[in-house]
Amino acid sequence: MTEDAKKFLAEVTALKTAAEKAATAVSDGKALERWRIEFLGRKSPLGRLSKSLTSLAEGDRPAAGKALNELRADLKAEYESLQKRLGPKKAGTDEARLDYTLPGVQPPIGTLHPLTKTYYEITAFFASLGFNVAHGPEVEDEFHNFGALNFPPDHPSRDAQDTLYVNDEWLLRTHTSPAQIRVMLEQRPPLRVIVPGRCFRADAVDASHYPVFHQVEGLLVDENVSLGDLKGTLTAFAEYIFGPDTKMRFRPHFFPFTEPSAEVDISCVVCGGEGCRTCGGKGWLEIAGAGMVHPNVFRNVGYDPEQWAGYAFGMGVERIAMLKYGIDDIRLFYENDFAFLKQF
Amino acid sequence: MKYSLKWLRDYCPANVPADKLAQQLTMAGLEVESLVRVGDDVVLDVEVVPVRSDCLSMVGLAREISFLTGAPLTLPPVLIKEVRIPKEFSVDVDLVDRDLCPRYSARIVTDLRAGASPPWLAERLEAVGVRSLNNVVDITNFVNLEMGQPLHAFDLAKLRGRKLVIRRAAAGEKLVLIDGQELALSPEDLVIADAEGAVALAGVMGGRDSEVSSSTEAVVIESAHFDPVSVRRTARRYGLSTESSYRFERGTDPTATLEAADRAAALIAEVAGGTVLGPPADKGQTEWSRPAIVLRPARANMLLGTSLTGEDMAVLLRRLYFDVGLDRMENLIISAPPYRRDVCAEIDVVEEVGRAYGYDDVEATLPGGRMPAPARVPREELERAAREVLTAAGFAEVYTPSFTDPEKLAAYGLDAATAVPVANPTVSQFSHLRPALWPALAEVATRNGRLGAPSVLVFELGTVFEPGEDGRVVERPRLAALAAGEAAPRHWSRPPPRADFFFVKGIVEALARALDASLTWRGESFSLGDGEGKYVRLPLEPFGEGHVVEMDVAPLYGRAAAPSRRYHPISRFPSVVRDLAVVVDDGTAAADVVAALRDSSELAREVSVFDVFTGEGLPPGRKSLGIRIRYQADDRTLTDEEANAARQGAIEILTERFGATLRSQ
Repeated sequence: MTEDAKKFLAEVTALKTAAEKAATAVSDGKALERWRIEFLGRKSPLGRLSKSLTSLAEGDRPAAGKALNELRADLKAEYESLQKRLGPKKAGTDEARLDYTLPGVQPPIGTLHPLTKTYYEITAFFASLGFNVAHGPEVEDEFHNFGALNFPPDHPSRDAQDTLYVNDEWLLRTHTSPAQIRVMLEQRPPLRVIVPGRCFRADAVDASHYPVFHQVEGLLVDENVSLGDLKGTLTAFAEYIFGPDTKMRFRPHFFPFTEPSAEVDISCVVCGGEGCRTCGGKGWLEIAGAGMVHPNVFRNVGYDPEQWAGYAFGMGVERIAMLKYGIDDIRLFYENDFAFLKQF
Repeated sequence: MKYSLKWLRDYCPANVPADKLAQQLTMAGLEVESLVRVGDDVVLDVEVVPVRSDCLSMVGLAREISFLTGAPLTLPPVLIKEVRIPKEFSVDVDLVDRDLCPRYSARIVTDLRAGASPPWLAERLEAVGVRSLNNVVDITNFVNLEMGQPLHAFDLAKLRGRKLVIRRAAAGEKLVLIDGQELALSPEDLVIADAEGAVALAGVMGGRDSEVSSSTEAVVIESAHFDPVSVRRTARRYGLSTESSYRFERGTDPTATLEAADRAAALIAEVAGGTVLGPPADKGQTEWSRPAIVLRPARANMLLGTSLTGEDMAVLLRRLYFDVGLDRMENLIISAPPYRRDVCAEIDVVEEVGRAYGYDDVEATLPGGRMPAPARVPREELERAAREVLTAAGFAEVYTPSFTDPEKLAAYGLDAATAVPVANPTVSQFSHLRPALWPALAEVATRNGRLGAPSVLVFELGTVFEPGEDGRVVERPRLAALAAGEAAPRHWSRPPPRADFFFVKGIVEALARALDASLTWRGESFSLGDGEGKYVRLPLEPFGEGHVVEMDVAPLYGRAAAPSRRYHPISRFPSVVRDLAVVVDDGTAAADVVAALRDSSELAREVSVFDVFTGEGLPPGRKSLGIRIRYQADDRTLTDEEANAARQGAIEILTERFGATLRSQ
């Protein structure tokens, strides 16, 4: 073994000692990084030694190389053990003393708005009865929003609509019913459609009114359709959404685009019909307006009212969601507080 | 409308508890909204739908109660003792515009003493919320409430020229109403005028100058049938809604005018001690008939889902005072009573049969018949796909109003001129339609930030609006996502990542993958498939800044419904990874480099940027990109030589196309 080789091996040993000594002083991540750069970095003595390996006599190289490799492995092992010692600084993560009750890392979990969830439930029910979804524009004209739906001009039936106008010709739809007209103008019966969408009313803002709200409109047209079918459909709907014990009643009402017309009530979701604050002591809660499609509406879209019959209904998604989840203020849907949204 | 149960019992002494009665009325389509006990009376507040104007009176509701309970209906007596009109009291009624006033009846009562009403009268009125004024006016109100025929009393002494002319107003003609308001009339308004000018706004409100006062000794009682549309337009023109206009707008019974005038005259004579003069004036159409309606029982049963006989239907309808006959086809020939102005066609009778039978007794069935073929709805599918991507990334869906206002838009650097104004907004913060979703998302973020949320990740699917041609409005369905603050839930073991541009860009990339759509960026704008989008970085309290992407979604509708994606067979051979550190000009788009590398070899399966840096060690104006390429073949294990050759080829392409150099060389 040449002198050079002996010197080489001595350096290896010295370096190992120095590294071990320095390691005892490493107390935090920064010091560890300094230690890594000093002993394992590109400009460390280890690098210099491996370059000088080639200058040794050929016979000495295997032994020197082996020593050098061992040193490198030792230094790496030292580094890893230092890492392990310093890394898990926080309490409770030491494997031996792990506190299994500490909270886990939360995966990011998004939420759907309760109106979307409610809408999807409504859609799921009607899809199972063969209803397809259709959409219509939010800015409508007089014909689709009123005229074709058998609202006479200058009639008090328009008062209930509190229409917001864009100009003389265009208005913000007050219900999703205009989409009924669009569907019937485009398609021939038999028809089963539901139309979801945003509607607008010139309402002041309070706990039960908001100028923006959502409706789901339903329309079924076929040769033999009865008020009994409408009752059956909405009864099944109420039981699907609010539970099998839900009772339903039809109250005669008036809508220009249906006749006979009804308002649809369910037994109060809170008191079950005994009478409480939610239902104003009545035991019933209104959830929809409905009726048999008026022959004038059929005439307006070119259907023969002698051949076709149909039913239509409309419900407020906010209303259903409020009853379903026990929400008492419609504004919550549009304020979007996380304290609210994250409950759904 | 409010009804006194005591008053109702004058006409129908139904022996039914009030709450039971309320229930029955509600189920007959006359919804009792409240029921309040006042002393020995009960006041019902009933929602009367616009077409059931016949129920806007005690007699009208009593008729329904009689039907529902079987108790008899007694109509109020009209006992007139009239004296022939002496010359000095005659009033000439000139019905000029018969189109707006098909019938005009009037009675004169003289020698009366206007004064306080007797207790029974004041009590009746006050029970239903009408203030007692004096005996004459109170009687006109009483008869209006009793019979649903609005009346007006003129002080006869104040009618100039002893004349009543029913005519359209002259343009700009002046009229001071009882409430003191002075109107400049429109020629579309119908007025009652005397010889010199308008004295009442027909069907809406009387004039101050001919009003009954304590010195009134003789009155003309007007009982007319006015055109509903005309009254409605006039009332709306002046922002008025009165007991009278409310009834006329909904339609009154044209056969009842004279009877109501007589009833009022008789009662005035009774309470104010006057003399009723005769004969009454009765101008216009005095004979009215109802159309004959054919009701096919089979049709009614089909529509209602009932199995009633024609006879069953006839019994129900006759109890509601419909005339019912039979034709040779066993169809019912119906004539509705004159006050049922809503019943004009077969469907109206069908409804009446259903209502009378009881909707509760109609059996609930599920629809049979033919089912239309299920159809894909691209919009629904796109929205579901977008919601899946966004919620999986931790975003909360929000719904914000479709409205905004110029101040808010200006605060976010948007031009109000790009927003569509609402013609009749109810609240000033809702004066325009939103031209973008993100300003409202920013408000949601600030609101939640101030409530202590360290992280706001929200998105909305909604429509924005912009002005189109000819007053039209263009609607654009959009998706917007906003990130501010921390980009992931907190954990005590590690610092949370912060939301920044790359975070929201990642959302767009995830959407692109989910929809199999191309994505290209040009500065802050991007194209996702055929849709355009934009990145917005905005100052946002309390986070400092917020990061938004907002994009049109309508052009993407087809993508979720019918993806073009095809399965690519999986290679069973291992892949080889090669890294490159290339130095290119600052202005070189990383996406172009990545695209060039992806095209550089058919073996290049995945190209990703793992490091970007500028500054130390690099020439000014240059940046270093660390890029990893994964090479793989479908039919063999790649050798190192093949991978190296591919890498070499990639380097040459980069050198040639981008003037790139390798950093470590």
